[in-house]
Amino acid sequence: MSEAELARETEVTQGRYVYCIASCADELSLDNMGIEHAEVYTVSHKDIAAVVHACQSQPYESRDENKVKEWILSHNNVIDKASERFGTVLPFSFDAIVKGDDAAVKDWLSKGYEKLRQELERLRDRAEYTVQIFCDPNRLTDKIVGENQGLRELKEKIEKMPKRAGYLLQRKFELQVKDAYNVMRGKLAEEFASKMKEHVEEVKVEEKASHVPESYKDKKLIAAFSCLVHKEKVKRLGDALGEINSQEGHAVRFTGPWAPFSFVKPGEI
Amino acid sequence: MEPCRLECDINDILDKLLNKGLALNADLIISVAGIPLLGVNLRAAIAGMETMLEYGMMEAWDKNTREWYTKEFAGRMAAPLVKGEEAIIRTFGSIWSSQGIISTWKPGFLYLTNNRLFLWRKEPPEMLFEVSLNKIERLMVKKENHFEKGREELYLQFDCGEVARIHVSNVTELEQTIKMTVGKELENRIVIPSEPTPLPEGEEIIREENLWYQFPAQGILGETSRPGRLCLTNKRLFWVSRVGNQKMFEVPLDKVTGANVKAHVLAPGIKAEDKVLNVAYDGGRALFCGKVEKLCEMESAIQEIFLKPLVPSIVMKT
Repeated sequence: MSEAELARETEVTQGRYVYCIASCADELSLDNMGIEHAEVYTVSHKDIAAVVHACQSQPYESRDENKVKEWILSHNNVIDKASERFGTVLPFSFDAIVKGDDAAVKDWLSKGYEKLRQELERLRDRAEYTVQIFCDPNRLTDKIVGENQGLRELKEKIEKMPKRAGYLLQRKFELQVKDAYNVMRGKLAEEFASKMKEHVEEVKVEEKASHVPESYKDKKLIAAFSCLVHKEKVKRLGDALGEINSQEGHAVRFTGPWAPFSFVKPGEI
Repeated sequence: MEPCRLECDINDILDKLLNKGLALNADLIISVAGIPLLGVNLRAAIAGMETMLEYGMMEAWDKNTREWYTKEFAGRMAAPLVKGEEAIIRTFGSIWSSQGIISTWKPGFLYLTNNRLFLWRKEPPEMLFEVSLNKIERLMVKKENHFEKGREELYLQFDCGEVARIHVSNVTELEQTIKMTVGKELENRIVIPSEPTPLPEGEEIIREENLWYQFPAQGILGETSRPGRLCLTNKRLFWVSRVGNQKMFEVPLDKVTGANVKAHVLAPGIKAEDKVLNVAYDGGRALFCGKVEKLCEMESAIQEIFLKPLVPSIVMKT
């Protein structure tokens, strides 16, 4: 094999696993905290840097779920550490690997420099917070029935009937409550969003059913939001949420700060 | 209230790291096209079906389904060609089928082979028509009316006297190829049995239009509109039903007392604003409906015969 071919071969088999983009002008080593204890370091171009580790140019994959979870936790850990050190970073999805060596990364950074710089500027001093608002389902039903005369009458009628005879009506009642619930949910979500609005830069309603931890399983998730919040406004947002949390039958789950996963634009760089 | 990260479990992190965050451009990345397996398992756990398909997780299922489909339908789809038989023409075509009260075009694939002509329907599989080439005696291309438009159709007569009526997109090509394949002279005149008996000598058609006839009540049936053809000859006025080519109305011209086109005729199935052709004759009246131009053409043709416009003296039933 000629030297040129050998060089090409190594280039192709080399890759750089990218964790995030940070505001950093230096090339630093960040310890062996990466995936599988890989050494994490920065590759910089002007005043921005990619936080990477050197790897084979093939994706991380495994059938062992625990192993993968470990990788993901490491990935997240690197992002957290980088955020602590460099301020807000642009986080990457898991398993984003640049083909080639450090030079390839530099080249890529220089091509996307303007865009990346702008994003870092836009997100500076801001972080992502997740807000989930839960409600006691019984209380919610009571509220819905209380506000709707038709449902109230239906309920009274059912209660007067013998148990079996009321079955079909009961089903009808449940379906109507469900419909009313969906309407109400939309209204409540808007109401909550408007309460948070003045404290956040941006808010995204999470339409997809998001993860609900065990401790909230007996409650109904009414709305979930991802919020981009300036660090000076976090307390105020917390106060607004505290108010909702103290309402009868309500519970708020407020997590963060996260790197701005939901707010980095564009999706591809 | 204070935001907190302590109670966050792996699922919160998975949600963000797998579904959000930046992704690399396709030419930089290695993992997208190769589909990281991990991604598949975990994403599936989180994102469900859509993502599974996106990441190629259902490929095996897809492949199996296709295989099953091919196997299941392979036997059915193939046209039943005999060994040594060779398809010369294979084209989409249809055959006119008239049995009892049902008259319709049956579609399928028309095959002309070196010794047969047949029409094969794939699903459900059925041989709609089949004839050995050496049984074909006569062959004729005829222009026929098809939904108000003329088109060419192929008539075949077999040695038993039976006639088949076939339509394909290129009738002439089929005709020529059959002639060449059969290898013997074929006559090109066929008497089509379903056609009305030819007019007697001295009688000729003056005007012919496709019109609906308001068929009188019969038994338990009320009045109905039926499609067909109204013919005016120099001797008679008659109407032939499209179904079965039956003559259902016939009046000699000397009995006709008048014809006009008018609206506001009270009859079942006819709207007040619809124009109808009203023919009065000795002993009754007949109503025809259809396109206004056709009605008017027929009206003037009838009136011309009498050299002067007649005003029908009809007392409408109410």
